[in-house]
Amino acid sequence: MAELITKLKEYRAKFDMKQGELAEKVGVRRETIIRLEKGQYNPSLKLAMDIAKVFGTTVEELFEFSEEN
Amino acid sequence: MKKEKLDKNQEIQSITLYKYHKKMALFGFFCGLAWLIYSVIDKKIFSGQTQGGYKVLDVVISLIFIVSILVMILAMIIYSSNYKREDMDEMYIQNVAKADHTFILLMAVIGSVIVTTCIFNDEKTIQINSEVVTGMAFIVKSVYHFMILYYDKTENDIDKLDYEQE
Repeated sequence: MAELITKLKEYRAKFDMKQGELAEKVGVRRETIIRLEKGQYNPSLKLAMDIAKVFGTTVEELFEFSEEN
Repeated sequence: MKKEKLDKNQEIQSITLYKYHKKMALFGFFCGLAWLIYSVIDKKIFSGQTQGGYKVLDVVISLIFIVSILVMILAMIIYSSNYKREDMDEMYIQNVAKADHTFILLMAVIGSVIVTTCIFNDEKTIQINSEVVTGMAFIVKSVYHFMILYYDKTENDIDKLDYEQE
């Protein structure tokens, strides 16, 4: 199964934003952001796009799947 | 000043989904357990009645259990109706769906076992009364809340940035 790799933490640090603040902006709980950062949760397309919009970037830049053989 | 007081009250009356499920699971479990113990004491009291007189201690203990059951049911009603719960997000909904799936499977297995045992039990020695059924219902409800807690469990990972800002 392909693993989700995310640059969410880096972007959050770049924007000096707390997990709770990001969660509030995209309308989810802080727990969801924690799991997203750990790559333990695959976000819906809407959530991924909302997060990308907050950081002014693209979904492809924020999230990618590692190819596993 | 009045507005501040109002805000404070609103803050007190909101509850996170994690805390809500934790409280419901714990209260449900202890309430179910209290019902089961109460059914045993109740049986003892009625058997004592036929043999001539109640034991005061049994009656007092059963009263304590009735009061504790009432308090726990009241607490569950208050937590599920008076407190404003955190908004559900997509991850929570997915986790509840996982818990629902596991719970239905578990109930189907347990139900099958009970029905099969009752059908093939020739001696009819299995006895269930209303108190045992009520107790089991509360325990089953608590199992469901424990399942949601298990699937929704997230390690608290406050990173350095959050520490600095808090």
